[in-house]
Amino acid sequence: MTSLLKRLAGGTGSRSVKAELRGDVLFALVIGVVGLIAILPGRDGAGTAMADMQLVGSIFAVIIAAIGLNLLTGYAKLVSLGQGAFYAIGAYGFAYLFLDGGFPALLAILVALILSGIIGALLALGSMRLRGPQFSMITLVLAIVVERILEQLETFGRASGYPNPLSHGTGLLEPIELFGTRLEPPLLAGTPGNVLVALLIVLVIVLVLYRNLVRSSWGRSLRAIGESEHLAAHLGVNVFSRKVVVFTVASVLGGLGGIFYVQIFAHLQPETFDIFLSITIVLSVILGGGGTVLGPVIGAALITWLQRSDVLTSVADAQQDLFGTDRWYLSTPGLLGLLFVITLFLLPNGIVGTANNALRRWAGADDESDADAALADLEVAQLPPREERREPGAELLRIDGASKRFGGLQAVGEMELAVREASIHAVIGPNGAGKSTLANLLTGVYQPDEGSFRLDGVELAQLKAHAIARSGVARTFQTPQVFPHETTLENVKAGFVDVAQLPLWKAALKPPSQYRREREIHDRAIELLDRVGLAEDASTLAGSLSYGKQRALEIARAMAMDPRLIVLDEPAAGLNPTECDGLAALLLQLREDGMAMILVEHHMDLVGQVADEVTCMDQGRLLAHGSAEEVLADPAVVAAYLGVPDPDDVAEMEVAR
Amino acid sequence: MSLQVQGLRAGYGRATILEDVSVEVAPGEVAAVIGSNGAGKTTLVKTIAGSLAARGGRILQDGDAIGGLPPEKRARRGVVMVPEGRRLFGNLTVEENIRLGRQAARGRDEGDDPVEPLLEAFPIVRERWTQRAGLLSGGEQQMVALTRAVAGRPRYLLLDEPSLGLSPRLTQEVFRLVRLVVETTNAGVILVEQMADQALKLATNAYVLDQGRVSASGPAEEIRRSDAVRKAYLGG
Amino acid sequence: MDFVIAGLIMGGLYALIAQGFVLTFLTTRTLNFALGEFLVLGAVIGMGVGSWGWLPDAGKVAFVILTVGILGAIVYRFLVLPFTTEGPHDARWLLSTVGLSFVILNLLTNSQGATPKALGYGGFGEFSTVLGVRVTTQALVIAILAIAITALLVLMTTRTPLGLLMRAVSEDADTAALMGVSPRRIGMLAYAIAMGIAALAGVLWASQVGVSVHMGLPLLVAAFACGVIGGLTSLWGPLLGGAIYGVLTHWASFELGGVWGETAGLLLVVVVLIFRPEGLLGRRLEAKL
Repeated sequence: MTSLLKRLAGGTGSRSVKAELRGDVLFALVIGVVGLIAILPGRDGAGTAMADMQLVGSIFAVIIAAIGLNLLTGYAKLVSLGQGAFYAIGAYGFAYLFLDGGFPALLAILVALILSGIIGALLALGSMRLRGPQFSMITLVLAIVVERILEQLETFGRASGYPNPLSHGTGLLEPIELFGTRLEPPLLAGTPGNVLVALLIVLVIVLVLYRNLVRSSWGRSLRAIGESEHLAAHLGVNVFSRKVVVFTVASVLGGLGGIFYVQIFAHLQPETFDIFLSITIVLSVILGGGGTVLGPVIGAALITWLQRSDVLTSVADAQQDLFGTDRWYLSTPGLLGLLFVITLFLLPNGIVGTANNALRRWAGADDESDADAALADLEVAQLPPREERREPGAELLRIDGASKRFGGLQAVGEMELAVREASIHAVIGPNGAGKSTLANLLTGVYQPDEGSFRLDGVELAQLKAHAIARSGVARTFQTPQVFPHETTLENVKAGFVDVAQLPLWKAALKPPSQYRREREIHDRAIELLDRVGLAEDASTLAGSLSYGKQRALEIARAMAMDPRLIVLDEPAAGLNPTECDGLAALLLQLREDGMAMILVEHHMDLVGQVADEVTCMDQGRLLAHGSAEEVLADPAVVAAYLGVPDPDDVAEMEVAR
Repeated sequence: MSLQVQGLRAGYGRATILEDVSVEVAPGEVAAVIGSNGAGKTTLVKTIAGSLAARGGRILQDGDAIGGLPPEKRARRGVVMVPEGRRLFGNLTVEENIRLGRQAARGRDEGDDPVEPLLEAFPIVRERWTQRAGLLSGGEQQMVALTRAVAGRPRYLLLDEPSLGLSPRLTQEVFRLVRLVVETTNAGVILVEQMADQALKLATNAYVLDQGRVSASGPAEEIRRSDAVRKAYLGG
Repeated sequence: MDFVIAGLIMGGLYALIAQGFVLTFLTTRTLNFALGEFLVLGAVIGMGVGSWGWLPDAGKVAFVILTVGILGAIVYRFLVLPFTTEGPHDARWLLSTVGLSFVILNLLTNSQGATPKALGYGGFGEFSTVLGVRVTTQALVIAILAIAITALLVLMTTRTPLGLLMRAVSEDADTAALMGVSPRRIGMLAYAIAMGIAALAGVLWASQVGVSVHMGLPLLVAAFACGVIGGLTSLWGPLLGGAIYGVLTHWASFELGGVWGETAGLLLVVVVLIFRPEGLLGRRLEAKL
């Protein structure tokens, strides 16, 4: 086991700090070199290369906007149809401030970015409370309104564009000057478009920051939100504020894409920024592969090239020849719309996503070995001692007078329960007795109507789920909730406190301390996986794990949160007897380490094996409390379980046996 | 004539919950399926009703394979389920809920209204007739859910934990209603229950589910007297 | 006062179109982002059948409604339903309808050209006076129709057997299926009615402003806004949203100039969402774990 551990620590996507750094530098180098090769033909300003240089510049611009959208749509699964609006705001904002406002170039860029961010934040504040099409609708409305404003506002020259000779004496913006160098756009033959060099440098920097971000714990929080906001909240993520922040970041990147655009074309026409622009950016993300680092980069390059080359035009011509009509055919926008629909049918994971899956299959990374159960052959390993806890037996959690009604149903009524440090308190009761509701009240899924939930003296009753998680209450779910498309190791990493609390700047800049922290997270995650018997599955996709292994994974993730109390909601459901024994051993070991647990469970063998205290609920109320033997021998409990209306009948049954 | 489940395999996602489960019920009989939570009882009736696709085995209604039909078609053929937790339409009135139940009987609705005898025996449902179903108490909701299912003229009725969350007294009431349903409609009932004792008193045959397999089956009275039940619930 | 009346009347048109969102959202939790194009499609088909002399004008409108309605049902079945299979967070249907909107719009632009053409029928005279304010009779008729259709939809959902099925599917599609109700068919029907209404709005509005492929987008924006303001889960929502949005945008474009109308409308939507995310008349949908 130890040698395996070592191998894992060195293998599966995990690397020493040095190797990780090498990988990051390599990424920057490769991106930089590819970009450099792309802009090389324009170095001497040959007229023949101008169109290509403009294409390359456009691709750079769309890439920036698309990676912003990827954070939102690919990772957090919030579909924005308004990324083009921020592109427009960035472009026009910069151009206006630079030309009419007389701002120095860098200041104009900065203010234009801030403007994009503020508008994005405002919109997010309004639309992020709901999860549903409302958000997409609002972003679409924004995109259209922005286009209309640009079309109709006198300041921006309407159809003549901005700047235009009539109001500004020129149709082109002056190139910006940086360190005494004029950054020329690739527009005039004979003048090398050296602005592309500057743009490439910025692009590489932004891509590196973006990659750092999505690979960090911050990025994990986005994927958690995309998978399930409930789950993200239980991992301690303040879902609303994180969604607002990610939308703001996406907006700023959209704005930056627009600023790129101005540098290349030096002139803006409102029709460039119509709703179709937004849709091509979405298409870039989806076609390239949402939720992958490189997907939007490849998608943006492909789509921009398709639009600017004559491939689609020739397809349109071919249709006209084929169907013999010059009216009923699809040209570029329609063809891209069709490509969009086809992509959804055939390549839902995009080019990069599909390629990744194929590679994974080819490498045989997730051979679906669900026969051997995770918990079954568990060798319980000792963890390094945890930080100080209070002495075992002291009261950790006290629930008093907890009540919750749903419509006409009293799901929980005046419940009380106390959990001690380093102990397992089982909550049993017939189906529908209110056990799960109680667990949900404790973890903030529902707010209790009445009652107090005090964890070490701190009241949890009115806190939101993420705040309760941060106070030290972790949980698992009746149906295991894992991120099916992530590796088992990544799933455990999603439990660490960093996911909720790592600052954005730290995630993006990745200072040396962050390399070390990632390393720590990695090592600890491997330890935890080993602990629950999943060490060998570290690189398997969680979705292809067996049910029992998914349960074990959930427990490992809960432990990664370093909680004071774990609420286990029917962990034995769906486990076979061997797995069940493994689970019992694991829970006992956790208790040994000083963990306090609430075990909502039906499986009486498990309860009898591990529980220090048992509380039986019936009809939402406390029916009995005591040791496992006491409670299971209580005639009222037996009656509640077996459905014998009168406790006397129980005695009769006993005799009959 | 019977509803037969043969060698059924079913589950969710990566989990296989049921393995090789065979159950049979004839019209006018009650087959009780008991077992602790997580044993696969709900999965069984959901698969029979079509809410969940079977992964293996056969479901035969009077000899016709219905395993490939969508749930609404099975309901129209008279295989009607009362889901766990009742699942009334809380925003609709009791009357509307029951009217919806009649949808399943379209094309088969000749003869006396099957709902009438139930309303007579349990006037509480009629008293709540125009109220929103979401405001009823648990016991009342279960009565309405049963009545709603009966309105669909079930040939085979699948009851998923009718006693869920009810007091023993109310559970008895509900079981009295189930008995009445069997008598008046002559439907075959698969009764999935935790409240084993009462279910076994009512049933003709019984199946004990344990970890997704049938661990014991036979005449209900025999099962009731055996050790299997206690073991399934309270361990040991 | 003028802008209030004029705004309310325009709000009627917006509300009518917004009904196309609410109806499908209520029953299927999805909406057709190509609604604007379906509206244009209605107008274009309306123009196509304009020369059918044997058919009275009302028959032509009915034909348009029916044709576009059927297309709506097909779209639900083949472009929406297959993209809703991955649980409540699945938003692929949204993208597929957006993609569809570009296909339709492009096809219509290529075949019809960009210049508006007269529809030639379906008009209701010149101008009328409402409380001393002159408005086009066409817009007035559409506004009245919006109220009438809303009332009809409400009556249909609360009083007819079909409406009961729709409400049941809206509340819990899985359980409705257990009652022998096919959620898929109800969804197709809802899409058919919704797209039929959009087509009706398209024909009537085109009869005043001409058939143009570009008429869909601005109306889509307004209808989105009205739907969100009023609440996507209330059939009365569009009327309230339409009234508020119509008056506000009219006032803002009157006082501040053309584009500010829509900008003010967008701001209003954001404000409503901040304070009442489910819309003014909407119900909050409970999240189940």
